[in-house]
Amino acid sequence: MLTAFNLPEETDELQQWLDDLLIKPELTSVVSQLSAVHASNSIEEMSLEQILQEQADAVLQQGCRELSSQQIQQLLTHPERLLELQERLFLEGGTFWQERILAASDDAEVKQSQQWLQNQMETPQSAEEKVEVQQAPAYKTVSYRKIGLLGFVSAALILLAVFLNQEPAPAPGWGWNRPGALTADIPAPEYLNKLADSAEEWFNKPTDTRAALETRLKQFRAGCETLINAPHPQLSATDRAWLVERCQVWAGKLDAQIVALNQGADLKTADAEADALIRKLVDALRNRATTVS
Amino acid sequence: MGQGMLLDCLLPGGSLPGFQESICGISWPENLLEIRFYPLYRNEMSTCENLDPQSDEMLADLIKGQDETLAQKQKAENAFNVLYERHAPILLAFLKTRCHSNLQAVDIAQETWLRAWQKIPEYFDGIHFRGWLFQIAKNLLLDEFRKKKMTSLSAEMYAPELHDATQAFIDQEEKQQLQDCMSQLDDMRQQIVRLRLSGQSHREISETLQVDYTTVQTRFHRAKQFLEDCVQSAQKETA
Repeated sequence: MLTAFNLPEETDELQQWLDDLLIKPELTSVVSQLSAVHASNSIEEMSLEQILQEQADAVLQQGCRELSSQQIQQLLTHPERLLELQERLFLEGGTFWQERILAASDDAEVKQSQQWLQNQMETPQSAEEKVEVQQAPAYKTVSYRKIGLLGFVSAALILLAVFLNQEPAPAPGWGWNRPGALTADIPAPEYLNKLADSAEEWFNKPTDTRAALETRLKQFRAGCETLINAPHPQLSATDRAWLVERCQVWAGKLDAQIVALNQGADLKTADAEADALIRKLVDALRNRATTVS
Repeated sequence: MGQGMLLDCLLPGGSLPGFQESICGISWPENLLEIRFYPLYRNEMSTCENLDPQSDEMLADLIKGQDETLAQKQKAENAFNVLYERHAPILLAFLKTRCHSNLQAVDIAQETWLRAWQKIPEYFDGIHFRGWLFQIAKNLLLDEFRKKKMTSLSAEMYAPELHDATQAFIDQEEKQQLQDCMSQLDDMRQQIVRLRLSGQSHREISETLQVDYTTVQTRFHRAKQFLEDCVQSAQKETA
């Protein structure tokens, strides 16, 4: 538990200990412990540059074996510098550090986030552009009546196909799509709490089959879209921006969950992840409600 | 660097052309010799990344055209994917060192990248993309800490003003609890703990304090045990 108290005694072991620690989450805890222990020491402040001196580049390239025992002692007695060093290693560290960091990283998480991001980058604007491109022939051939009629019918069919593919249709009736859910008649904190209440309607129906979960996710996603496009007049510009931005993030996550479900994700896991996401967004809304006036 | 090494770094797996224009639809220099004139990511780094035909800054330039034609948007997305693959694992690993949970780290990483996509055209000044990206991530982290500070009574008691980013990442509650426990040790034990946690060995401490080596060892061990128990009971009380 008190990890800092397990530091080795010999300089070469200390160097390796630091190499390991500097890329681990435990570092923040070690820094807290070192800060507590040295809090009453009247040690002169030192910057990271003053401690590393001409070894700075060597440490970035080769690791802590380039540090003298005195430099290690200075780092340990100025523990905040360890956090600064850590950040520099992630930012500018050479192969020695990059390999260690990448060895511990989780490719699946990175890929999943990329998928989510790609969904986010598909903006409504680009969707409109695509529809415009599809519709263009209908407008261009308007003077040739027959062809124009064909174009019109084609465009109508495309629109119909697009419409039918958007299932389920934005569901009326629950969550943020319930009539009156986005009322302008209540003050901001109450409004945010009401949004959280509406989101909690997610838990009102079971999602114990793949189809039920997918439908429910799509309906919630449709509610997200409603929320993104609503005016929220009682919120300040900052809070409105926050809400829209969060909604976009949630919408992206819901999209990713729908995709994962379609790709055969385990139902129980997918259901638990969906529940966790809804709980998280409910908490975020309620927390925000405590900060707005 | 010899030409062989240059090729090894440029062409993963040693494959040769046909590779051009095949990665994410971005035009790569057809003449390999052109590559040496492309700006490097960071001069002091010596990874293969340095020799990527498109520097971060050039990719960012492509992203700036995201709001123009569909073709440019496609190019921008491809360039963004290259940047993502180049920096996302490191950013996520960094955030995991600063967040309380993996979930939070993933969340902030996603939001960082989304903001990067949205803000590159307006705010990226063309210098050191990874530094700029980390700055967005750290700002988001600080926002999270501020929110927590506002909603958590215990954090409010100990958290300093968050103008200093480094301070924000130190667990102030853990620090305060250990400090309180330290103050319950006698002076000699406090001194031994301080010297030991400044990297001195038991032998060096015994010489500095003119105390028997075994005594130093025993006192440090007991002090550690006491502090662990003390912090644990303080944590239980807080919980």
